[in-house]
Amino acid sequence: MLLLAGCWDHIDIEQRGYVLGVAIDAYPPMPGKDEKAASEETPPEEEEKIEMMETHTGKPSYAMTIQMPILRKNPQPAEGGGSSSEGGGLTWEITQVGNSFMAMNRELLARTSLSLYYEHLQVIIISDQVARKGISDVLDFFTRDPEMRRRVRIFISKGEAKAVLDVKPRIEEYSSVYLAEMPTNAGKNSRIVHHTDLGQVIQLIHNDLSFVLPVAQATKDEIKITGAAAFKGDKLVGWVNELETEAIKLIRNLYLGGVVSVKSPEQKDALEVLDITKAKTKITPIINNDQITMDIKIDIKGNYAEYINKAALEDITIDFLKENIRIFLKSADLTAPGLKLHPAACQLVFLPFLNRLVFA
Amino acid sequence: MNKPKLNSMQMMTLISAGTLGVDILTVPRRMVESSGQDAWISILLGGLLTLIFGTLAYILAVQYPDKDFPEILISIGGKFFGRLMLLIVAIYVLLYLGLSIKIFVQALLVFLLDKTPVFILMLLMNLVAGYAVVKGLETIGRVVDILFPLTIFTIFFVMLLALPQADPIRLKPILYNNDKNVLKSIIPAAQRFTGVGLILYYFKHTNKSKSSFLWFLAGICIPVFSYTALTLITIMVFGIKETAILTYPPLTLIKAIRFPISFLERLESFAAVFWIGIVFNAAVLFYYSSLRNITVFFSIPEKYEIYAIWAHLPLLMMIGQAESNVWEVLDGTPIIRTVQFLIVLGMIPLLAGYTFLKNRRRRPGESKKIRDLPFYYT
Repeated sequence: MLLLAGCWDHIDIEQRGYVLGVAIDAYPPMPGKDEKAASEETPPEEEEKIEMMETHTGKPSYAMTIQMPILRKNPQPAEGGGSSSEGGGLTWEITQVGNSFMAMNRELLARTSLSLYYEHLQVIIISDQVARKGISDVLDFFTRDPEMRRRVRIFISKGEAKAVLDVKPRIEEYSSVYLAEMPTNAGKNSRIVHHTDLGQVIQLIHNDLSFVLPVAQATKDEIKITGAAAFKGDKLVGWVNELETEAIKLIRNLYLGGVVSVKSPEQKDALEVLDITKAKTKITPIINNDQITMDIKIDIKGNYAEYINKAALEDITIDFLKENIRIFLKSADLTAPGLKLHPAACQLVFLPFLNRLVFA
Repeated sequence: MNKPKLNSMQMMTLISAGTLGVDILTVPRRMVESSGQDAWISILLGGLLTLIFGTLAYILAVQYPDKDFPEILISIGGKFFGRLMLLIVAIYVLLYLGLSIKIFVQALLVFLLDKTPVFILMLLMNLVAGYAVVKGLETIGRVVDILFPLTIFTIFFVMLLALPQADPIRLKPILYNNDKNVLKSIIPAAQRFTGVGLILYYFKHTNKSKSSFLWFLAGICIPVFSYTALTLITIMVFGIKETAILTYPPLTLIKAIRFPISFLERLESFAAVFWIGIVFNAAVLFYYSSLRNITVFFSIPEKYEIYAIWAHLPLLMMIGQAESNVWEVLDGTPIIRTVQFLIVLGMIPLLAGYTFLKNRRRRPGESKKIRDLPFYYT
């Protein structure tokens, strides 16, 4: 009984610094420099001095920003909506510069009285500048640390990643939670990439598969997922727009639900809208002498949702798929689900063929 | 002969529980490192080998139904050679127990109790395992009976939940230019089923019947099936590259389980509780075996056994503290591997063969029940 009364690992809830989001930018320049210069807080030079850390080897190449909720012991009513590091805000975004994420994480402890706690981490946002150099190194720390969840969502930002964390959402209290919840809408909106978990991304990288990650674009109070970033290996190699994202999901059997508009077969210029509830794709590669073709069979089930009696903007039927086959080939990997082929054959026969097409 | 303290069916739970120890956390990685996507085949073949050597151990136990392993060794080898063999076995069991607890504590530090000192965790585990041994065989049997179904349920529940993320294509190509690696890994795979040797310690105390052998075989098959299925699922979910770099693949497997809704978010904490039970079971069973080795080696009378039990504490703590490199512990130190190899593949089969041939004649004074046991030479 005496032994059961104690716990070495006990930490009071208010002593924990719950990290909700992490933004990773390339350094230099320091992310959010212009914003800081405009604010009335600490002068940017002094702020930057604090954000720098002495490294054992090499020069700082990353700027890691963490978002923590401010859990006050005596809560005050929030003024207006939103969050920020401004006075009365709900979150604190701290940036640290360095070349090792473990070291930056520990350096942050020199700036907060709380014990940083990552078990509730919601999102990791990586800037396109960092992603172009490769995300394996960036994600290594997040994969190894036992506190990290494999279900943490990863997003790519065009431009500064910190800007996404700085968003003051209208409804949600924290931008990280706001962003993390968005992929759950992929069942209704097929333009949102939902396969974005840390665990899935690491698996794809380790299995040498190409993949796409959602792109988060931020304004002051809003975030939008605008298409996807295409990865080959662990490097960002191109952008995929929203319609192309839809096609990739459909062809790669990742389609959860969405809307497809087609020209009405009965009345010219009228538009018919189908609410897709289920889509299943099967890809069968066919080797015929030196010719390689792929038989793609897509079964779609849905509800007739809308009829608009006006001119359709474009024909989105079989031509839509044909047009987007090229996009699919960009990120297709022949070991994708649904492909019944010996992987060794894929390695020997298909991959050289694909390499000529992939991001040519 | 004393009244049996364990029934035939408990043979199954004891053997399974003794085999499913700390290894469950590392088996998929170790096997994938050596035989890639065919790791599950190595485990299955290693399991078959274990069935053969387990049967030999059973044959040896049946020839001496009223003796346990230390007593058998003394009986066969005499005071000097018997004690020499027993010394090797005693050191092996003690080291295996100490290092198992050390690995358990290291894993616990990583994902559950990162600030609690290693010393305290080891001490607590040793104390509770020792306490169960003090309470005797009936208590050990009942504790295993309670924990075993829960642990098996947890293992299969986790595998079932992970199935939606499994992709069978990751198992391919099957045996493609990999047959040599698969064959080489059979013995390392068989070494993961060390617990089968416990039959030599517990057979004496079980109610012998014709079904004893079947329960014993079931006791081997459960961990073989569990390890094979766990490795299969791990490879199908992560692929071989990732499995090879994960320290504890089954724990990561639990973390990788996804639901479309927020449900079972901290499943690994739930599973860890049962994993602690798995290790506790194995620790108790090996603790008792070690106690028997020491009491027979030093001819300690039964009334002083309690001192031998608590004398284990400083020894186990020293073993745990002495080995500071956890990776060496995880991969099994070369000395332990060699000794294990000598005992399982050398000593037990030789002794089984020797006694089987020696005891050709029916021995007087043994009941029909004993004579009817499978492999009892009549």
